[in-house]
Amino acid sequence: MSMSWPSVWRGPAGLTFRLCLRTSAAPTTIALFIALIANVASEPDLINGSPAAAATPWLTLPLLVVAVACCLCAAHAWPTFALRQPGADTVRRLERSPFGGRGAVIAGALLAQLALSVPLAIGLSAWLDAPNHARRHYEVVAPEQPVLQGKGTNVTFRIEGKPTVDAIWMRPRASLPTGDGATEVTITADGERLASTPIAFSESGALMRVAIQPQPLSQFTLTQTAGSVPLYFAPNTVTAVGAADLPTWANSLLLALIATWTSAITLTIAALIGLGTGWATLATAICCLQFVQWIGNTGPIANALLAVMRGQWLL
Amino acid sequence: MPSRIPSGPMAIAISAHQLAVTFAGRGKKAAVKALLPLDLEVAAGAIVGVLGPNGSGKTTLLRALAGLQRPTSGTVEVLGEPPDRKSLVQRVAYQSEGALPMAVLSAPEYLAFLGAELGLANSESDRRAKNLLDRLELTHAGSRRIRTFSTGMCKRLALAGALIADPEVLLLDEPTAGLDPFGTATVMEILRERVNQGGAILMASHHLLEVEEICSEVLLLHNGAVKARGTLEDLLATDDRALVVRGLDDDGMQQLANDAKTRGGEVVRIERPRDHLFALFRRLGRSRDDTKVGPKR
Repeated sequence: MSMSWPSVWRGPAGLTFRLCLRTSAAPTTIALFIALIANVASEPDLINGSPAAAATPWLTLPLLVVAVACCLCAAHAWPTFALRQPGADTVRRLERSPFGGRGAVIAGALLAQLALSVPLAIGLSAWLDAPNHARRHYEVVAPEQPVLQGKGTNVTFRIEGKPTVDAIWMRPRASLPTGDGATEVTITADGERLASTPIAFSESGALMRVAIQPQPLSQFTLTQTAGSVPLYFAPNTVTAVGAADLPTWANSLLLALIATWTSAITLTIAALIGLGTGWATLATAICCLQFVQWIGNTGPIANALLAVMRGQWLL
Repeated sequence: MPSRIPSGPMAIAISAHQLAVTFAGRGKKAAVKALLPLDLEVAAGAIVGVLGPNGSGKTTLLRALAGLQRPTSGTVEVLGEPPDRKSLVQRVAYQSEGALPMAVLSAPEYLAFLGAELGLANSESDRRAKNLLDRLELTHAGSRRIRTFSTGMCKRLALAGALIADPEVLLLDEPTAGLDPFGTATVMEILRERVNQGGAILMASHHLLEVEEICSEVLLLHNGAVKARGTLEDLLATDDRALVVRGLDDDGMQQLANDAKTRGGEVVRIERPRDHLFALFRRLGRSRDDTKVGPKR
């Protein structure tokens, strides 16, 4: 019986929250198992021996299922979300606001998605042995011609805000070599070498993680000291990694929050579509909107999941 | 039910003046005149039955009175206010003909939701819900979801939902459709109680016997137009008179018939009066499981 429910559970938001939890839990669990099995079966190439860093797109499946299930449940449960839904007159009489209670319903659905996504995100990162701590990644500003193409050439990158950094990651594109030998590069800041040994690049797209002494850094310079492989540092291929350890659970919470963003967009558009369509069309629209944002990668979630698995702080 | 309808024998709960509804046509579809201009008054303490074939405008009339359908012309007042006023949501209940919303809820959850939406305190809402579920014999459904309910259970829950706020006016669209005789008898008993306490009820129905048994007035609609209206006594009256006697044997009955003929009357038929089926079901409801229900002697 309902006898102990507080008021917040009885209104549209609380009711939708409970219904979404109730309806989405089972499909999410099934999706989680499928994703874990598929992730293992697809044998991802390990990066630095870490399965989390090599997470396949399958891992997005349970989070996607939570999002789709919560959106479908909310839109189906609330009769004014689509035309000709059973009981719409009853609800329309009670909810005389311009949005017919849809705002509260969307809030309830997003909260339910968050409640299910947080343990999923924390659980996935723990199960896949993601780094215990996340690090903030700072974007660096490259010069106009970020190219090393001969001994003695150099490229200087700036970092906004002079953060404390303890690693620099690089993934330059390499052109055809003009002679023998891999290109060797040194990293310096204010005339001081940051890494004791030169870094060698011989193939395009290889990720180099260079650990340095933790220090505040506003700029650093890459200088070619040897070799004949021209290197091009395209945007987003050089990253300065912060020294501060940030908790992975908080990073997972951020991931879950980012995941609700796609649902907020989906439900807002669905509420507008539903003004002129029936349930079948609306459900199709919800699935398509979620699918495009997740699998089509127009939303932020796929990159965010991979970033969490690789220990990159999301903010 | 503490009635806030102005007191007095002719206090008007619902009034409509030249109320008409036309659904605009789209593209090649012509406009549909769902309700032709009609005047209507329902007094406090009255049950008015709205009769008519499918598509005659019964639901449109009820929706207009519930504030869900904007009239094309004319005026409507319920409890002295336009029907779409938020303040009327608690005082006027509308039970639609269709399925219940949110069929994934259980009956108590559904009533708790309605109570919250209607602004009832939780404890009061729960108390009323418990009483209504008991009264309408839905307590046994427990936490079952509404979508697993039978048609009759859904109808009874819909009525419980309409009554949760203890409204002064009930607008009911086929409240007994799909109900078994027990359920029908319970619903009619509840409706009678409401009007005895000063409530006003307008109900659309296809069940002529029920309307005849419970309604004080009827409104007969056809193609959106009022074809007949008035009290049942007025509408169903004939010039015939019937004499009902008790205690005579067959010879006595024959003598009485002959006497009627000598006085210029005509004996149409002599029959043994029988109870209504409703009465049989009421006795069935009161009987113990091991007893059979027979004619009332």
